[in-house]
Amino acid sequence: MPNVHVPEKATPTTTPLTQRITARRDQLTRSAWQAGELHDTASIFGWASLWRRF
Amino acid sequence: MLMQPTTLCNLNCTYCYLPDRNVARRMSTEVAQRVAAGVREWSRQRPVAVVWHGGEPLAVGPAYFRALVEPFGPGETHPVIQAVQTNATLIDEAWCEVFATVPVRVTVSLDGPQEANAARVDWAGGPSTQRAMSGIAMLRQAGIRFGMIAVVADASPGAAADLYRFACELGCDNLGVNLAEKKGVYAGGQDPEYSVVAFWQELAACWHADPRIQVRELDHAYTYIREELSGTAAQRADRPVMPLPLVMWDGDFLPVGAELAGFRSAQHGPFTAGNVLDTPLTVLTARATEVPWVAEALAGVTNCRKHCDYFAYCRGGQVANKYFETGRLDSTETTYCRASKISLMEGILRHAERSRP
Repeated sequence: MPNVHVPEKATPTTTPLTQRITARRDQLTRSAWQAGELHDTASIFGWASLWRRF
Repeated sequence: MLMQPTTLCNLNCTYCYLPDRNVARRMSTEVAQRVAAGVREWSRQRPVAVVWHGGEPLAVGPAYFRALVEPFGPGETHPVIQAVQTNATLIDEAWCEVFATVPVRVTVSLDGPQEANAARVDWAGGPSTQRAMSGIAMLRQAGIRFGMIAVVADASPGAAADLYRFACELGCDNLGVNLAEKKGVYAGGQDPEYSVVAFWQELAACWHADPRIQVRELDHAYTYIREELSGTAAQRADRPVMPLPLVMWDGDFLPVGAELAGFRSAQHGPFTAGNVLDTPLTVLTARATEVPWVAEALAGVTNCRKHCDYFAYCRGGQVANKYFETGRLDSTETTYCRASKISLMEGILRHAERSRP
């Protein structure tokens, strides 16, 4: 596994989420462009993924 | 559109939030036909997904299930896609014949390898995993593709890796992950502050190492991140929130908060907004915001938009979780939000911090 699991307590931060994401742009870009959700309701029922196979 | 063909379930999972799951109340074909008429109308405007949930939908039997789904047809201008969420224990050759001939997509409920399914017991307290695996083997033999949704009660180190490996080996197309949560008649849940971030971080790492199946929660989060990185997250926040309505077995309609089905409160009364046997579905939908409890739920979305840094990502949380945790529908951040949205994003960010570009 490339990223060793390290249980740790969540650290509160005052940095806005947008800034935290853009600060990690290089690491996140590839995964973000692999994502292909075509519907923006991700519910417990899983129908968000229905549209992919459509 | 969610449909509840029956309240009955042949299992008695210890974390289940549904009331009346030991009672056999079956949807009439008339209710299905009324809903189908509305869904066909909607399909003139956009694609529509119809998901048969439960109880255990397969408890109605294959012939009756056919009678429920057939009125929906393929759709008008846009398609109507039907799916069924099942515990897989009842799948046999007759069901495979249904799935092979009726356009219904299958998602199975299973929590991972054998020991992860300890909560998935029948009404006698016996295990159900072997029966579910037999049903899934039937699907695979028949060449019927399926997805999987798992409920994670134990997010300890290694749990995400075990789950992801199991899903890949099972042969499913996609995986949905629900953390056990305080909801409905189930009062348990996760400690969101400690292990859950690490669980999501581990799941993200597994998916990155071997992205052979889609993971619903990661897909949702990374889609938001993509929009954030491309500067379109503000438009995402402004898009109308898509409702996830439910029609119960008796025709009662819930435009939002599907997991509130069968519940009532002193303040809100029964959580319904009319019945499809009395009023066309399209009319119920158009009038939904006039129903006080629905208006309160929509006010909750507005409050989330005003107060939560994660709104563009999550877009308002889950109505039922707000009610079951706070007794209100217009509240904002819940334990569910922290465990399944905020901690998930935190896990992804931590994974990114530890990864090379």
